[in-house]
Amino acid sequence: MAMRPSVRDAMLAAVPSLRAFAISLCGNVDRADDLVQETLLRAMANINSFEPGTNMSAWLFTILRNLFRSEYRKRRREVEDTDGSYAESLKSHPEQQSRVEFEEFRVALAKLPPDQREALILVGASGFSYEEAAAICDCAVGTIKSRVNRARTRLSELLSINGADDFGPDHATRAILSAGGRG
Amino acid sequence: MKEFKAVRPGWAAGKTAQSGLVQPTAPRPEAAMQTDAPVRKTGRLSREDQRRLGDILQRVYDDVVRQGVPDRFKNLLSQLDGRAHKAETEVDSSRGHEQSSDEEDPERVGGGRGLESPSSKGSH
Repeated sequence: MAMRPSVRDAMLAAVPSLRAFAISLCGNVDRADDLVQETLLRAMANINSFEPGTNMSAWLFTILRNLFRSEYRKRRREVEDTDGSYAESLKSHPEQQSRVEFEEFRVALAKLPPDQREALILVGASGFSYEEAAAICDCAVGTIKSRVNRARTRLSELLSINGADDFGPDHATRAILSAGGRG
Repeated sequence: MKEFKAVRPGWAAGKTAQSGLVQPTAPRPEAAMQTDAPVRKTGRLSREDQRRLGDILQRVYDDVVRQGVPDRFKNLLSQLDGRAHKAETEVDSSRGHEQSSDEEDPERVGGGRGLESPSSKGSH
């Protein structure tokens, strides 16, 4: 069956956000892009199961999330390849501060349990409601809320947002935090 | 060696002191169901901290979003699209306005000349 232009456009429109989600999940740009590609292929193969008028973005996020989790399960015993290519890809970034910000945040994010990480990203960055995030993660709304709270608490500890100066953030993080506070 | 700060030691002590008070430590049932790493008892983040955290997360995320759609995915989708269109026999009517100019009919282009004489419209 032919892909209707609206479907293709909706998929294209979702790609930037899908990539951001995928990169946040696996911390590696190459793997993330492979994941996005696999997601689009999977979506096309199952386009008949997409209900027109429903949220294409949420549908694609669900597919990507499930693919990531099955891959994650397979790779659990392998050494996580979270450094290298991601840092490499950031070298072209124009703003020094953002680069440092990326790097520190990525490290902190990678330390979160996957459940918490995905919940936080879906709600805190992708702009999904708790209900939508719950549907994507196939769990209860309350579970999503709980995971988001835990993720925030843990992240703030890792980035020392709450921390005292003695063992608090290094200069870069402090700069980011104060910049964020003013912003 | 970095260590996390001692988290409000008085807080936990206060809880145990009030042992007579039967209050569940986790107010939300779903929180108790979590099998994730134990949550440090820092309590809730202040709004300001949440805002800062959300701000960083959003900026990091948006920085990727702003990269747009890499060619790799544009190509993939048009490739998939092309394949889908080949599979279907009747196509093109609903899409590809740019392409329609390739198969243009000179006669029809010439036919546009009629539009050049608005004066004739007025006479009728």
